[in-house]
Amino acid sequence: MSTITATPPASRREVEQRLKLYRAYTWDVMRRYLVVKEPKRYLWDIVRDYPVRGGKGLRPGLCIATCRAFGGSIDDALHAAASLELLHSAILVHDDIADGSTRRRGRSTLSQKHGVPLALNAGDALAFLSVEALYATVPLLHQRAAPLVAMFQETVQRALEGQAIELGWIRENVCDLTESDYLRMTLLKTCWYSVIQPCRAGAHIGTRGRADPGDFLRFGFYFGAAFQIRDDLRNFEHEDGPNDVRADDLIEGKRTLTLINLLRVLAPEERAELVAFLALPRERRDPDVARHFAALMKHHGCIEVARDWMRALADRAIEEFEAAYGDLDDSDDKRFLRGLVPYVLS
Amino acid sequence: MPKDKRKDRAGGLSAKLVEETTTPIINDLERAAISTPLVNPALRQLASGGVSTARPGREAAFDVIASAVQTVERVLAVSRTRAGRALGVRSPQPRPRKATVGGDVAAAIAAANAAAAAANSAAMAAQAAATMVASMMSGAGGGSGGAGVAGGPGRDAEGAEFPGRPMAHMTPMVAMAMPRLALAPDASVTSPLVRSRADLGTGRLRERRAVHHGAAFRVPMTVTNGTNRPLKGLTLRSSDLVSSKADRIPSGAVSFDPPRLDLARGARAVVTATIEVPADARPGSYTGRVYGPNHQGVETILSFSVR
Repeated sequence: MSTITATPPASRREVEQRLKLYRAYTWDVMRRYLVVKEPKRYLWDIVRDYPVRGGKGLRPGLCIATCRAFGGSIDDALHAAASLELLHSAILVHDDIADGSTRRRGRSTLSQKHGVPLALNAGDALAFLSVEALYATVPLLHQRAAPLVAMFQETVQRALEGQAIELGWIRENVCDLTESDYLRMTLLKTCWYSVIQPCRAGAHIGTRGRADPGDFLRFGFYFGAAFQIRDDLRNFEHEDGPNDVRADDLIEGKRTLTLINLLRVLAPEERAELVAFLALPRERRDPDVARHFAALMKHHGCIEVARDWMRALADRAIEEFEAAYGDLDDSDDKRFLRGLVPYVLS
Repeated sequence: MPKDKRKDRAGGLSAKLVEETTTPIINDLERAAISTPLVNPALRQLASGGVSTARPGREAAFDVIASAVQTVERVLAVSRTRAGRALGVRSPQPRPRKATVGGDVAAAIAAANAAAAAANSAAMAAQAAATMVASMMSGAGGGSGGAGVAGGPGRDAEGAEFPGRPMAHMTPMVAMAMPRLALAPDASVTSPLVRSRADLGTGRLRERRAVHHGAAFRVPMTVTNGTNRPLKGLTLRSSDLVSSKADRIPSGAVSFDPPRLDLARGARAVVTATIEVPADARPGSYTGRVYGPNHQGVETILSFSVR
């Protein structure tokens, strides 16, 4: 091990159980905001679609466990957790439209199923529902709900900035990026709303405003960045057989760490082919060609390099976990949070 | 951790490269946290943790007092325990207080300041506590204190109502402030963490056992007293069990045998939870918490599927 840890992590099974528990509690609150009413077919059924599909529940898990580790209760954090999950769904809907994605959590994306206009509208509704859920913390926090709202606003802006940077790179076919560029974009696009905000919201609620929101920046960056790389790497996992990868990110032109590395190591001719492929409009990017470049990524060790980055960032996340949470008394939630890093990245 | 002790686990990736790449990002991140993208200056201040200076005076005073009370209580508890040990007698448990904050807040703040300054001296802290508690107790009945700070509901600097709050609200608020002094868990509970049908019942069954609505099943749990004192009257309770579709099995469907437990220090006992799945329970994967309502840290997760 490269790190010295004071907090024993929860086992994989314990992490799964607690994630499941917090996800179920959060969903119980979320559904109150996702009431099916008219216009059902054109809006509220669509709004419910992504939240119903579920997910790991990373954000609610971080928020609730942090709240409890800092002295709060599950109930204290539930509306903030629901708000984060609704925001996540809103971002996914918009991302899928922006990226031209066709699949989400094993099913068709909302834009595929219902068309872009209705999907876009449903995404907007999810975004505003997340604000409504956030306001539900006011009776608990009184004046101290205001910082939570401010932090939420800040987080949303960061996420939008990160998404804009990535979309801008794709639009202008920027191909001379570095790891630093990628990590800076990821910090904005992913880390803020996936880790930093859930943790600092949970701590804020658990301590009734006494926690320093800056304490979670480093942990949030390292964990969030490692999490994003892990998510990118799933793209190269086998779908139907050892030689079959989806390569969706390549088709979407996403500037992943593996793509950035491939652009650096390819011979000039091959690199020119890849740049030309990325310059095509999304609908003209041939999946077979994308799979060819995915195979080159494997051949040149780009996937392993990305995995190395993920591990290095995860190690630092664990160090920073101790800085952010180490002084707290030992608890199931603290061990869960510590165990979440290896769990999510495995 | 010092850099030279950081062994690089990340394959061919050098620790130096990771350090050189991420450090400027971290530096910018922490700088940016001070100047956030928010346009509104008030929101900017709030988002960066400026809330503590922006609170209305009355609420800020309450926080100071709450923190000081907790500090003093913990110092006293430690002193009481040590004195009890020295004398060979068991120190009595402090009685829960039901006072509300009020009375002469100025005196209370002075006492709080004294308590904070006396963190290293139990005697001084005790003196401050006595003054503060006396002042708060005398105001609990609603006597008038300084401007707008009388006991019971009052008004803050902006005229908003600020009700007096029971002392019990202070505990979570100060748990972070004094993390090392918080109580250790009284006991731990472990269960088979059943999550599949195969694990239901004793957790040792090999055959697949389905749980149908209307059926009952039992889950043995081991309760361990991890403290150095005997535990008396430990009871377990279940939360509602919630499915991934937000269906609920009410907490009353879970009972425990024995319902009440005394445990010598370091001892273990098996408590069996019986879950009566209601006849109208919908199929799904249910999960909930089993916890000791009067014993901190006693918690485990119960999870099972209903067909």
